[in-house]
Amino acid sequence: MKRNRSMIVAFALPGTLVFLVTLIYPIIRTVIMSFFSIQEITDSVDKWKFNGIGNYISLMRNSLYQASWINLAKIFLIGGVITLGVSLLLAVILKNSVRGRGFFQAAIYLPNVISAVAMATMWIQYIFNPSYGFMTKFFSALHLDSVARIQWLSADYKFWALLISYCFGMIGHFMLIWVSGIERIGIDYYEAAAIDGANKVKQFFYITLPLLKGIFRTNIIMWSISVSGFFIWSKLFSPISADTSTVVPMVYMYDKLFGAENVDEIRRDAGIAAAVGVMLCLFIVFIFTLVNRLIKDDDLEF
Amino acid sequence: MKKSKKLVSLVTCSALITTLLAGCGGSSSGDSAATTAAGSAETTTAAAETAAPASDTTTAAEASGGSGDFSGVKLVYWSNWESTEPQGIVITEAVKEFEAETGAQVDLQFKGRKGIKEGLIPALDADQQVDLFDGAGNKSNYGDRIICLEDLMKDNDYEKDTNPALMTLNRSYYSDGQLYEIPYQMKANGYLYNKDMFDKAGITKAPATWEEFLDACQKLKDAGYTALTTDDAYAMQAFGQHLARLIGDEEVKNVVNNGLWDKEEVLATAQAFEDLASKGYFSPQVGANVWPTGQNTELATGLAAMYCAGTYVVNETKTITGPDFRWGFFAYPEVENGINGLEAMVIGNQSFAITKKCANPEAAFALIVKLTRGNWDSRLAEESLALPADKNNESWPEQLQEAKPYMENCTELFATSGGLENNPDITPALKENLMKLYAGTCTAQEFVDNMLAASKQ
Repeated sequence: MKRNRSMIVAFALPGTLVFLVTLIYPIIRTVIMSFFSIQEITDSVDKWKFNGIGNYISLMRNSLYQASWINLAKIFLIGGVITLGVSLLLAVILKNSVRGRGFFQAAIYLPNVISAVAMATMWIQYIFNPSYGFMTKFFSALHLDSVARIQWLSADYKFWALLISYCFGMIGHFMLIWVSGIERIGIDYYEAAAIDGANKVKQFFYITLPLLKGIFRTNIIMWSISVSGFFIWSKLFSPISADTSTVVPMVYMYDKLFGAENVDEIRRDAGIAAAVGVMLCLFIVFIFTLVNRLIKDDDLEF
Repeated sequence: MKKSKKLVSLVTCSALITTLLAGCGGSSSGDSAATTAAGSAETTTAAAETAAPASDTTTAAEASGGSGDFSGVKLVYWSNWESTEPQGIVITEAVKEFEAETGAQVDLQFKGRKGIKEGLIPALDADQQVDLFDGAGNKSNYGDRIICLEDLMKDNDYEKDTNPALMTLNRSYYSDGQLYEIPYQMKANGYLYNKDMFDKAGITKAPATWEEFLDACQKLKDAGYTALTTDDAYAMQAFGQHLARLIGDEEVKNVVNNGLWDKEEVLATAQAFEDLASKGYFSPQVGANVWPTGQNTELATGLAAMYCAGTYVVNETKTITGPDFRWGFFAYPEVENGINGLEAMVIGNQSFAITKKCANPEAAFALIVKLTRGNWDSRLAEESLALPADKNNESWPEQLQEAKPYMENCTELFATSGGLENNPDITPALKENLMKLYAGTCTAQEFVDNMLAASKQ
């Protein structure tokens, strides 16, 4: 037993150390940094100036930072409903023996294997461009001129253009997770329900949906992680400098950490950036806790 | 069944591969953003390729300085260009020649803009060896990580051949008024325009005053052209320079940093742009122009005549415009009741700096001299359609000839966008409201009200 214990320690120690050094240490350091005024992320500790909760207070008072959270909340809630809803719908449709199922599955997943930069460029240049973009041409062809005239990339619509593009890219990813969940549900349940006279809609609400609770929980957490790291799409929809309608906390953090463009006197603040990072982390922890409390999947066994 | 499955798999795979290739292809700015985002660290240690210095270039190199015996010296040079960009290609060739002439070994690493922005300070603080680097002008944020170059400049009698306004600009970044960075790849900001359109509209002289500018806009409109366009990223440039003409760039900074949007000059400037929008001078799609849409699909394709930005646009759009596009340039026009004239403008540059870690600053400086003087400076200007650093180089790209007199007569320097971008927390709201103002979807008074609201924290 003694030998076994030392063997366990010997095997577990390297992994534990790597975990502590690469994950726990940066988290603790970031939390500590968020209470200090620090210019560079690499500044030595003796250059840090204690600021208490000053960084958090100045963030909460900053209108651009507030706007970034409002945008994030909208992406999380509205984008979440669209992405998870549409992906679930597609997964259920594809679960049935649709002709060309493999093709559709791959085609819907396709945007996930293309670089976000290429995807965003495609949306900006070929879909939303007000003179030759798909939206303009398509609605003009349908003689829906008022819709065709919408300038999707103007300040009033830019957020929605961004949201549509982002959700389009994410649907395939979540659809595959739904599909894997649906495939776990035994065919017997559906056959029994069909014999009892349940139609497809009833089967979905009384069999599929309850048995996908665990996957639903996973998907919400995955979605909150993806959304909190929302960055590249925002950067591409407002290149060079941020935009009120598309700014998100990660973009704000980046600008604080590395300095915004075109400013003669570059101001960097790693302390503020760390505080943004901590708040993003708390956001995920909050969602995780909330979802675990609200959605329990241990009441059904199958 | 099996056959059809195979067919579907084949079609799907082909679609995947095609789309992937399409995503990787082309030379759009989006792609370049991807490349820079990757912070590529392409290393070109050209030490092994020192055998072929062209004899015809040696004379020019000698004339341009940058020579000397630096055998055994190793320099690590981080560049903010990509190796495939015109600047990257010329720098690679110049470095090879430098190695051949001096015996030094240069580890040239193309880091891209983001690589320098995100990686240089951490690298230097982590004691990584970087001897010199290039990047956007104003390197004051590198603090004491870079060295003062005044002595090296004096020893090499360097200063006399650079535009004095640029030396003043680069000294102005530092509280001690000393020079820590050597300017190159100069740029001037103002209106870039399509000369063919001007000729066809009967405009014989580049506008120098606001009245002449309005007259030019009207003539262009009468000739059936769109007079003006812009992109969201550059929306601040015209408004900022206009406001700086009225109150000076220091006062503009005061406005953006302290929320003084109710100043009468701000309203007057907003009214000037409201007037341009109401007269139909701006492109109808201007409100939706996400950079580089306006620059690439309107200005470079000949759909719009004028664009307020820097001379770098000429290089950025050259694959679209082709060699026959006739570029013109004029500084931001003088405005009524203004406190400065055409002598005050936004100019800027890329620059070189030597780090504190450099054990051989003389060698690093010699390489900078090679790149910013004589033949290689000329090549850089030609290939990247930029302004040469060496004022003895007469080979200004034809496309930028009109910027030359403005730059030579520049005696007062405006901050970027006349100081309008000096508060990064307010720039997003400013950008959004300016695009609305240009698109005619908000009035001058609404612009002021919106900015006052956005400034309240």
